[in-house]
Amino acid sequence: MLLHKTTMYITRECLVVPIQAELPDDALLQIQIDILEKVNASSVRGVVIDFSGVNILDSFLGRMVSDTTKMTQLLGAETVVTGLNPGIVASFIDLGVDLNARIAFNLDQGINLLTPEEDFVPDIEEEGDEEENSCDSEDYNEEESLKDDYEESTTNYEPPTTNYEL
Amino acid sequence: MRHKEKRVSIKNEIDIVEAVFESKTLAETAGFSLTAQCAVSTAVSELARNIFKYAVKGVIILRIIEKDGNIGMEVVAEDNGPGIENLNLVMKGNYSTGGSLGLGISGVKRLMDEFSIDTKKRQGLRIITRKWA
Repeated sequence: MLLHKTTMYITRECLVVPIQAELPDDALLQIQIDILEKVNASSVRGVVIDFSGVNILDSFLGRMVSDTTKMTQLLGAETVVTGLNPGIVASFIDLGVDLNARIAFNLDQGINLLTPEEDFVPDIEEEGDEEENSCDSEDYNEEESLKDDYEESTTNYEPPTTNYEL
Repeated sequence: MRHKEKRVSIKNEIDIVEAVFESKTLAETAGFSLTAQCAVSTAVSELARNIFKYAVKGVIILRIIEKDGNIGMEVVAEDNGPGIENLNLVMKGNYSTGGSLGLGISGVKRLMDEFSIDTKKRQGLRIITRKWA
């Protein structure tokens, strides 16, 4: 019994699913279930299935992708397929497979399609919110003192390094 | 001139993956372009999957062939399964008794250059396909 564990990860509110090799059917169906569970549990914006590690996509895998796309759509997330090679694309036309998914050239573009960079504001947003909400001078002072501490520590830290270099 | 021949018996799902891998390797040795390699392997994948799904077991034979100085690859899929009853419908595509898209066999025909199918009801299936480099 072969174990196929696909490592999915979430980045910029997208679930990234890299498919690394030609996998047997049961492994693919397991991945499909994993994707749906992960989407449901983490409420991501979308799913990026990356096929850059795969040489062949047959009608079964095509159907699995097409089904997964429809399923994730019903859960409220969009699916983008990335990393298809020219051979796969040519075979798809011959097979008449329709993926029903949005396509992007690579992983980066796929994520951008789901979460445009201007839309995506990482954790810095929280800091900004705090500043806006807290007009209290106390908080502000606290931050100032924190900053001072930081500066002190850096100035304290610097001399040893220069000594070390000498 | 005797060329290499590879036989992959299909009994489990994992054998499909093996058949695909072997076909890819053989197509590479035959000097197929990347796109053609992909087409052959996809066709093998469809044929192997068909065997597993409908006949449970069978064999995929892969060989490099030569004709008038052209190098090609021959893929033979054999099984003793139920055969195909509505061959005309199956060849049109979008018809399947197995709950799939029904694109497999008609897709294989489009992926390869030559295609012949021999089936009698309940006496198995023999598909011979060739692709030239």
